[in-house]
Amino acid sequence: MARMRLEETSFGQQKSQSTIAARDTTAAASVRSVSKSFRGTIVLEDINFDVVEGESLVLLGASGSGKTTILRIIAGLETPDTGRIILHGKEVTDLPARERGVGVIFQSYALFPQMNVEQNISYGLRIRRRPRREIKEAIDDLLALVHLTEHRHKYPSQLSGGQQQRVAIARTLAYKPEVLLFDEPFGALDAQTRVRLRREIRALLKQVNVPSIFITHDQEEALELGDRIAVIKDGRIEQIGTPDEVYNQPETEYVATFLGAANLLVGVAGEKVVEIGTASIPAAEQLQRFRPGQSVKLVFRPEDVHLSRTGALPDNCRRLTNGVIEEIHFVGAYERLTLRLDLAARQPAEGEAPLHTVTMNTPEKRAGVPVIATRAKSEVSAARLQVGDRVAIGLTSFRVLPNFALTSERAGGMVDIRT
Amino acid sequence: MSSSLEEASATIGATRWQTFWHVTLPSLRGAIVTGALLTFARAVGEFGSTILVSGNLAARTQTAPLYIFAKFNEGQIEAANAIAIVLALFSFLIFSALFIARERLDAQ
Repeated sequence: MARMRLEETSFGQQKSQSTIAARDTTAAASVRSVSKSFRGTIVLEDINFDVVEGESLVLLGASGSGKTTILRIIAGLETPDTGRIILHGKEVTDLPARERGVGVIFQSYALFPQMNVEQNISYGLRIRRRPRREIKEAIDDLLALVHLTEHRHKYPSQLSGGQQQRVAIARTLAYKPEVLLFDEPFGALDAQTRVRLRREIRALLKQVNVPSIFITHDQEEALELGDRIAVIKDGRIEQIGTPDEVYNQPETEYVATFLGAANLLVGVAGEKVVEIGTASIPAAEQLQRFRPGQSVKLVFRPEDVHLSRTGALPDNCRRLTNGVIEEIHFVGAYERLTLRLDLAARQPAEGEAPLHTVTMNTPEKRAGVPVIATRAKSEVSAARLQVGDRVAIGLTSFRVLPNFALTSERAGGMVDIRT
Repeated sequence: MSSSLEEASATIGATRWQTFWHVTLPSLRGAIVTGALLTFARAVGEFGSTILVSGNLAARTQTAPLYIFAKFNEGQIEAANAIAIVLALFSFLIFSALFIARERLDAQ
């Protein structure tokens, strides 16, 4: 059986095309309104997502966000309080782990120390009492797949971290799992190995075409490994989408700040512009979902800030305000600047709702709001800037998000004082 | 041993019994052997309970420590010493076996 899979994958090109076609229709794994609490503490709340055939989904969250619990529930190592787990159309919520056919790659790899590489890989087939010849063929194929043929008689303690991980993957692929689950797969490795293994695993997964779910707290890892990313906070999914979507169109402040750096300015929605103190920036499309006068947050990434000493900004760039350069740091590939924006408090007009003054009434904010900008080397050499320079500040891209006080960050979320 | 080994075995598809037999028991092998040897060594040297429960009948219930005790009381110190040396060698062998076993397990 394992042999068949490997033969299929030798036509990698064809295979990947057919998976894209199948993507819209079949869900390999579905998590439906799963909730879980441990001793009265809510760990997961109404988790919903699908993983389609051949896709890799990354669950990204800080430690304690509940992401590992989701993985354990899918694997059958933990039971949900409510909700269902469906694997390839079959409900498995009440099945024990061993009947689910899920492959788990544990953070510690959990290789059996008293078995050598061959024995570890063949474990799933041996306990299923497959014929000896089939097992032998499967071992050979899998060893070739993970490039460990010359290490077949070694014990786990004699292998490097990366090799152990490949044994762990081969061990689960042997019994053709419905879905692969990776629990912090690179947590135990040094930074360099991590980057290399990430690419190896990505290539391997594309080759075997098994849907997979990764767990990580490393945003760089998430962006690189995931076809889609689900950002998890306090047991809820904040946003789920492609790396491009969650990075460039974050739906909440948490998503914006967890994935990369982000500047946040509190402002007020106008008809066609967002007002931030005395400054305003046109954002007609994004303001459609806000009523005028509503408190909003302007979120933008440091690399989307454009600076100009002459005040001339490129066409794709919307002018925000002016500011003064306060600090410049050289950080290798780019230059990081701290700017202080001219955003003196806006005086409320006669009879205007108090909401307008809420935003800019602290002394610190009256003095100007600090933001961070980064400039690539090419920009730096095109226009040198110095501390104290006054510049016009434009944004090539930004997001307008609702500014809920004391509420969940999820757009449309209900009042939630728990956090 | 960490419970993740057993969890891994379960997700791979093993029953509880298979997990115990293939994963748990082999991991405990070293501990079981060590425990058995230590228990044996302790039993060989047992004196009080043997003499209370089964007495001191030569060639029937007489153990090595009882023999040493009896010969010492009779004044045959040479015989008592001879058996004591045998016991000492015996314990030396057991401890050597333990150290070798442990070294092997550590290497794994």
